[in-house]
Amino acid sequence: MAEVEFEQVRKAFGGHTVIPALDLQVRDGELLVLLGPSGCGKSTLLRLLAGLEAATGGEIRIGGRAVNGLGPRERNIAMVFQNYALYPHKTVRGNLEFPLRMRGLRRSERERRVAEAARALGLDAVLDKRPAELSGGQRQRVAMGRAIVREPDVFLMDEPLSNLDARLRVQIRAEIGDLQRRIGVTTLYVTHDQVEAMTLGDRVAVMRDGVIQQIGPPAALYEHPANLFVAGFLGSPAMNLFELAFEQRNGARWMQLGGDWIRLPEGVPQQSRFAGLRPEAFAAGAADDEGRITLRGEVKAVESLGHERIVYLRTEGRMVEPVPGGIGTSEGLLAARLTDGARPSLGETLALRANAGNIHWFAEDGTAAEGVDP
Amino acid sequence: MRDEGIVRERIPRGAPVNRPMRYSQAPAAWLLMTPALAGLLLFLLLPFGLAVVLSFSNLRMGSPLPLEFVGLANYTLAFTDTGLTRALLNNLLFALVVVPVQTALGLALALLLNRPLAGRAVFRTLFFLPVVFPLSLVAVVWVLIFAPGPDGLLNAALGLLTFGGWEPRDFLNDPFWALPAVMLTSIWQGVGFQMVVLLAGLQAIPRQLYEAAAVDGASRWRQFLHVTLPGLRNPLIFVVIVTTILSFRVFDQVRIMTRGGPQDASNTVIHEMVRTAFDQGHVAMGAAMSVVFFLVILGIALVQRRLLRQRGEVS
Repeated sequence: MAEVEFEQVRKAFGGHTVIPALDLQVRDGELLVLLGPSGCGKSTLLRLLAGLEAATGGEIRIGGRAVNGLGPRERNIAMVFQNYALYPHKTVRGNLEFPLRMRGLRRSERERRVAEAARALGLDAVLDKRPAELSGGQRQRVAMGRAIVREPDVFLMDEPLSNLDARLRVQIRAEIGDLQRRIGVTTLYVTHDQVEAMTLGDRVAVMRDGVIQQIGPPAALYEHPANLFVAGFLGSPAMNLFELAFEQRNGARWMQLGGDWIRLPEGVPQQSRFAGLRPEAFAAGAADDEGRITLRGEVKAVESLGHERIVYLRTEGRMVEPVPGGIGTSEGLLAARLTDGARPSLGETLALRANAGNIHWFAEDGTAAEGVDP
Repeated sequence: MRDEGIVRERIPRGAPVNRPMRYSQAPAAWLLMTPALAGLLLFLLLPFGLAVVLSFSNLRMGSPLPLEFVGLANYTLAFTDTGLTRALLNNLLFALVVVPVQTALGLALALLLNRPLAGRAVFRTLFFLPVVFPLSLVAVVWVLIFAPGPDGLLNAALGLLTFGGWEPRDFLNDPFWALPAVMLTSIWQGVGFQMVVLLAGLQAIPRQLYEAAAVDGASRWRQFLHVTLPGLRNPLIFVVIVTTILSFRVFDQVRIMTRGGPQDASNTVIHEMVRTAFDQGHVAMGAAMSVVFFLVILGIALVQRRLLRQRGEVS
């Protein structure tokens, strides 16, 4: 059990800087998810903490102890690799036992811990099999088991579910969360899958180009994205982002959002240049009162999921391109998630209303615009 | 869809799919196999059968005596009157030294040249080069290296290193040094082959296994024991089997460097066979030796197979 701190950590490969200067505190017993598109430096950060890569600058501390100069074996961490990295010639028992043998534990103690881990992960029946004879889910569990028998200070998980099929992923995701809460070991979990991040993380750190964009509880990130990147990365379909235009007319300020000019609602931050609306912020039908806005567009596609419909509209206004790596709408279509009975048909012009209070405002540089909460 | 229907009509469910094919294509298959089978028969089975038959005769080149059946006489005489026993022991000693030393050296070179060294492509090429040389050429070069007197390359080098303390000797005519000299030549020539095979094996081991082992607390040495060696199991087996067989087949170096001498000190089975059958014209005796040799090799192959199979298959 330990807290983990990164202080001004820098990593460059050759002349190419992957992580410029990163500060991060992981609390004792917390499950922190590092989320970002591939190549954002999240795996590198994990490998720096594991000691598999050396930091170019800055300090990394585990439980208050600087570990920069220590090799992986002196850091008391355990890691679950994306492809599990199980020892192919060893049985499941041999794999689970290996870190304990390397630490010179007595045989009786080793057997006790292996039995405990096997029971916790439901591996009793396969202890004498080799990895090649196991299913994907079982291999994943062995990799988890090899990490927990150690009773390490920190768990590192590098996309541990990406080799599993969708159903198994949901099941093992729940198991991982459950296990982590039970044993309460500080965990860093790397993924590019926002569903994993949202469901597993006590806190989520969204990374891009080696820089943490925002860190906080999943709900906070979703409800108050700190910038356009986070706004566009989280959510499926992603948040609709509009470029705004302003105009003074008849003594009032007007704003163009998604093609239509509307009276500037109350409390819009001064420096706003972009507006974001989540697909679920929309309802079918034009607005009939002051606090709402109306958007119109031609229906280009409808995805019916039974309990909801996702409608894609072509609007007049300029939409911001979806974030690379995020699940954005392509070609600047507006996505709306409709849960009422509306059944729009293709080619039809649909009016959608949204509560102005649900709009996320962003400034020219992409950061969330500060303003009076309406 | 249509094709599927047709196939299902013809082949009853559960029948092996290739069964009907085998009937219809069997004549063509036999026809195509004929050249290869004829070659096998003509160049392997027939000569060997002939050797077995001849080994029970008294055939000798240029002998006026009529050809007759002599029973097991050649076999008993082979072990008492010829250099066969000594040659077998020499081969055994040769294999016991060369197989482990050459494999260990090949592994060491492979490990070294698997690291990101400057100019490692050059080194890989250099170490592999002797494998491509004809053995006879290699042997001639090493005869020069082992040349007697203070001007011989090796003698001169050893003299220089010991500041004149080394007593020059005639390695290839020294009963103690002759066999080691042949071994050294063979190792130098063959180690590049091991290196290349093991290098390929090393590169097939996923890097993440080493990382996992490092995180699990394994030192370099233990990573070697628990990741590298098990990962190299199959290439190592292959290399050991091939080198063992080659060790029992040693001929070229012996023929060129020592002619089996002095006093049979570096004689080998194949060399003894060639000497008996062709130098001395005692064909029947040579045939008997080759049968004995065949049985010895067969025995080694069976033992190796059994030893390796016991450790279980790893996919």
